[in-house]
Amino acid sequence: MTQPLLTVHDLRVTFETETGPARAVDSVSFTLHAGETLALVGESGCGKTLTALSVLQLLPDGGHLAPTSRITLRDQELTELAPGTLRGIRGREVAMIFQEPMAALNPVLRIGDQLAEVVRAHTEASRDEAWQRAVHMLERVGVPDAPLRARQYPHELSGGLCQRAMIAMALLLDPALVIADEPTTALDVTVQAQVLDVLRAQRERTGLALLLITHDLGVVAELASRVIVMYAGQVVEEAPVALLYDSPTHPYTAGLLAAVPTLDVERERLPDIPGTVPAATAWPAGCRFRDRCAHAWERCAIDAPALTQVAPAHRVRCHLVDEPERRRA
Amino acid sequence: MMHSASRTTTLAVPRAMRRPRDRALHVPLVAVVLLASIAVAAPWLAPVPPNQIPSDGLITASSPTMAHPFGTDPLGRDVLSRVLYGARVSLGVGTLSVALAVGFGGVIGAVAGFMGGVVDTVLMRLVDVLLAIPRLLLLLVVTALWESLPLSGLIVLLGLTGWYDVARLVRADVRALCGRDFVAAARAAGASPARVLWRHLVPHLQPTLLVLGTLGLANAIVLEASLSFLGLGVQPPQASWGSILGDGYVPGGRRWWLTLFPGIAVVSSVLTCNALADALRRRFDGRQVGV
Repeated sequence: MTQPLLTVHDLRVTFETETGPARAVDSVSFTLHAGETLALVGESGCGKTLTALSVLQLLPDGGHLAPTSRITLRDQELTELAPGTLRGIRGREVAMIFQEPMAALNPVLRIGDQLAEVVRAHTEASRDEAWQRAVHMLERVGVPDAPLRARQYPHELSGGLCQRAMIAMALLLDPALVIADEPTTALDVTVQAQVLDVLRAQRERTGLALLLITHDLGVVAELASRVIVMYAGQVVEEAPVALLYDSPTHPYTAGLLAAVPTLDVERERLPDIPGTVPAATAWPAGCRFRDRCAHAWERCAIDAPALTQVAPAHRVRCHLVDEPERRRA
Repeated sequence: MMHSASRTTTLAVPRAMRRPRDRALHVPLVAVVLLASIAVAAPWLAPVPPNQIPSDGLITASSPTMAHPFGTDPLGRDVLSRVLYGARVSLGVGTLSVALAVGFGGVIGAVAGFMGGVVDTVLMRLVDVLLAIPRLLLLLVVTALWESLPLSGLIVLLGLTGWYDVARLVRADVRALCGRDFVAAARAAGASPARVLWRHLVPHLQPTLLVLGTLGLANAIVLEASLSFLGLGVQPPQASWGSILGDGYVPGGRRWWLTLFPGIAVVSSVLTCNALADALRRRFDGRQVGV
């Protein structure tokens, strides 16, 4: 296999809080190849966004990486780069699309200025050239009347158009990796489909790798080739999309999939996963999902399960892998 | 720029509905332009040079007459001309010192808010200390050190004692802005700290700076008048509203015209500035601008 574009090894993010250190991301490892789309799935607070921000080395105040964590882009070790070098990578090689386009665009700058600025921060382009590239990119992501829209302010555009502008901003410099943090969550359903189309078209056009962060399993099925399911700061299951949907192995994955509404089965009520994610300052001993798991037994309270390879591209963190007979129907 | 400061979409409001709000802004705006024009046009408006002492020997204060509508001061100088010329000093000193205060306070506040940590703590505690010193008292002490303080010195003094509030509020604005998504997005797009601060944050500070500057102007006009009244501001024979007031405050009879006319000038310009600041603040209603 060729060298991966992005390798994340043993990513640990800790926050110092009043109640002690919060291990928000705990030993997350994965690789991403050029042209591939990897989805990070999980409920709020499980560490998806922090994982993404770590890749850009943009952790919020108070958060820090463990010294053993390694984030490698091609052959550059991002955790060791100087701030100036990192700035050269952000926006040029790794770009990010934010969840709420209205909030992620500066309300007092024109759309075109915000895009042109990214070009000017990374290249020697003149003001005019940068503006032209911005307008051209807006056209490419399907913004109608791009020259006019570029001269407008974010509040003059709809949410869908703003998200297209964000995508255009991310794609301006042909990055090898785009991190999309819940790119469709803030949008109407019809607009969601359009935005996914834009992302798919751009991926096919430029061969970029996409790290897709979402809790929407529909979006995952649309775009991703591989899925990592995160729970309580850990990877609990990693599998190719088709395999994951057909035979989810971790009870949490199974629960997530069961909670997706479908039209072909008539149900009174959608099944849910009882309880909430435990606090990051006090992960329980043993399996972190234990309290919410229908299959849990004594071993789960004592022994923390390891991420185990069950098939070539399929890893699961659950004792059921060793003792499948414990699985309840 | 004003509209886009609000995050929500501005709906088209019929013109008639906007009127009352706009009038509150336009009246003081026109008044400010008028006051500024008077200051600029003083040489053409004034009937006689402001420091001219009559050659016919009437070196005494006289109440308003047809020849001197605002009367004359104890040296026989025309008060109308002196009030007109005084506008140049009062408004000029006020404007320049406020520009200095807003610039200096803006930079200090932006740096403190943006850098955070130790820099923020040190700068803001410094502001706390400086705020504890009464401004007029400090000005009195410092101006008393000079035998004759040049006008530029007065401007610098007023500027250097007027930036504390600006720094505090700008710092609060910058802290709040740093948490907004677009700042994270700018960083993620590879913007350097200087670029984030200058391109993404500074444009948001305009409402705060504009309102504080206008309020500061009212303050500076009063302070300049106070100092000049006490003889610590402009040096004779230069006319400022405060020094004309001072000329009227001498033993030996009431000279109401020496109090009334420069008094009206001070009060009207201060009220105008306050009204303008208030209207601007309302205009930027979506944004919280502290006073």
